[in-house]
Amino acid sequence: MASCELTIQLTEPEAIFHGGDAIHGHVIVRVDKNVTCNGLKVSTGWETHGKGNVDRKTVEETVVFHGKWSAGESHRYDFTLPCASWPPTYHGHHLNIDHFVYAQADIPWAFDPKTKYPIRVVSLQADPLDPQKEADSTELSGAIVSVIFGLVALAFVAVAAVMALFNPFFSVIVFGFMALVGVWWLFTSFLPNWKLGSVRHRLETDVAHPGDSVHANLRVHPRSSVRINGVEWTIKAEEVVVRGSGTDRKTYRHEVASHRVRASGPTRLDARRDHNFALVFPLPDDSPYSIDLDDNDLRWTVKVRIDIPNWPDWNGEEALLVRPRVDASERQARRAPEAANDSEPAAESTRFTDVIGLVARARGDMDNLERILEGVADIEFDVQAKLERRISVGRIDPRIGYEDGIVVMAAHPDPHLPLLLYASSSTAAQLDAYYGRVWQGRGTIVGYDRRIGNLEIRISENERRK
Amino acid sequence: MQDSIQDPRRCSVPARVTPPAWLPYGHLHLWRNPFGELPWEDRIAAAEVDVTRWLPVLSRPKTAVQFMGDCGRGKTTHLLALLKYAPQAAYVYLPEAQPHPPIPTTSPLFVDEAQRLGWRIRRRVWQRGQPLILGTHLDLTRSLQRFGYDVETVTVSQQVSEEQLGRIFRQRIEMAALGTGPVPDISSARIHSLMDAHGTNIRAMLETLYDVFETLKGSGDGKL
Repeated sequence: MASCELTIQLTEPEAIFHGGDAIHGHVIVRVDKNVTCNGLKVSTGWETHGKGNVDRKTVEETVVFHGKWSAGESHRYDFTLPCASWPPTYHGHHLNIDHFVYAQADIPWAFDPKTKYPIRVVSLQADPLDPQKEADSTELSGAIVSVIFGLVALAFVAVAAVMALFNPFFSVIVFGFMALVGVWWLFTSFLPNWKLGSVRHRLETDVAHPGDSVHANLRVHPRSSVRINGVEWTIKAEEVVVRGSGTDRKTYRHEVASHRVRASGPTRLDARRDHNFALVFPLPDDSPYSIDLDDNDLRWTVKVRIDIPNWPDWNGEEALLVRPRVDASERQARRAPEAANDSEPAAESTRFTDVIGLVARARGDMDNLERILEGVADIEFDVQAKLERRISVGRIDPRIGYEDGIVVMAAHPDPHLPLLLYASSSTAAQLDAYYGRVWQGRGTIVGYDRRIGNLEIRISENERRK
Repeated sequence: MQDSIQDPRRCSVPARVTPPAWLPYGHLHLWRNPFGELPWEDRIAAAEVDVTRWLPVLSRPKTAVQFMGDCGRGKTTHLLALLKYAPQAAYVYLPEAQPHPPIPTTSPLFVDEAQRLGWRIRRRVWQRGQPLILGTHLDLTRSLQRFGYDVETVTVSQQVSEEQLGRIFRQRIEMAALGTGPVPDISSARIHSLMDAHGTNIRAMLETLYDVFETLKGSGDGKL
């Protein structure tokens, strides 16, 4: 019989948490026997489950109690812990990812009672892996693999040739194997390329978000005219998980989504000119994100096939990354309340007007004002400002404005707050039409000029005009 | 978040909570498919085989028990079941195409895929005389006997019974239970059909049961 039973209860058990959100709850301990607890640990984390080896990670942990418990007692211990930012909760076929709050009591010389409670997590930001670095490293590793493969193949041929001199039977086996490899290469690579000439397949969308369009291009430049039956793209998502290791290793695949787009029907490709086939495919809004864990992946690929009549087809494939779209207003809604003074009511709106209100109230408290500015840094807003006049400030700090740009005195209408707008020379002409009137456009808050009490805003290039 | 030590607050025990509605197997009072891959510590806990007759080996020098059988028959499960009785032991898995980890001198010593030991390392390990529990595809009796070992060989494919399979499957289901209500059971008829289809290959049975439970899932592919 266990010495105690643990139960976890959350303040919001049905909530959907966003990456980094605080999870509030308590652990209830029901004690069956007198026991000493060396530590009641509560933690948050995630783990995979399904057919693949388990990948998991602990986000944060805390010890909420250590001491003695007496039989028959029940105790409650509160906790607040953050959930992970990535990966998101996912329920597939071979691959599942779930987040949990875990509780475990360290009982010496006994089985440690433990429990866990599942929570749903939506990711607002993706794995910090840089897609460009990932692409670069993929190209580099691909080149290294090719060189190594070539060297190994050469060594193999050399050894095989020497051994064949001593054992003709061995030579039959070796050259038979080489012939099979050669035939495979002939049909999958040499013949299609020989028929089509120069073929270039390029995925123009490295990183896509659900709801975005995926763009790709296929260019064929044949040496001589060739007829094809058609060009077809396939955009596919697949769970790929690995169970076991070594000889016991097995890979399981499950197709989650597959979309075919026919780019061309039967046609003739004329010699010595470029033929381009474009792909524009809108990813469904509910497309799952790309996931790359140790033994559990969800992979998106964009494949293209050129169907050549009575000839091996040409095939190309590239990996596509599908990531969360980080909504700026959503992110600001989660950061601005943290930056506001504790006595201030939490900001419920993410609009520029609300930020202006916060800044206006915080002007007498520079610490608080700086926290607010930190919280809204790099967020692009829809800016409203009544333009007053251009001013000359000497050299413009390029971290704030545009070196060849202008500075405009302005004010937010309601609530009233003086502003300094930094605009580029290309935008300056547009602003000329708005002096004395309210202008609307896009910009980011870059600072606060304490000398004159103006909030500094850098107007985005190519801002829209209203 | 700082570590915090709180004063306890006494309270009454709450009633059982209902399972989260969004969990794919919540309607079965399970948090996951019971027949998926388990983390290491759960594999040890789930190792449902009777190994008590080999317990003396754990403390007897120059004594070895080797579990032999094809993949999926339960060699590793037997090793893990014995490991529960020897928390101080070292467990080493020898991968096929990767560098081998160092072999500890801890006693007893568990070696999974022991047939992959190179002859030099094997000689060094056998010379130590520590109790050995081996999972292997090759019979290492003669090699061990040359170093004075008493060897018992267990062919695991002969160890599986319907009752044992029932315990294995129920243990797995219990490990996936949310604790909010009754969980499914595996009938004798189902166990019989699994034995007919897969013989003694427990791993194949687990894969079949995984696919069966997938059909019982409540929510769709890839959707939160």
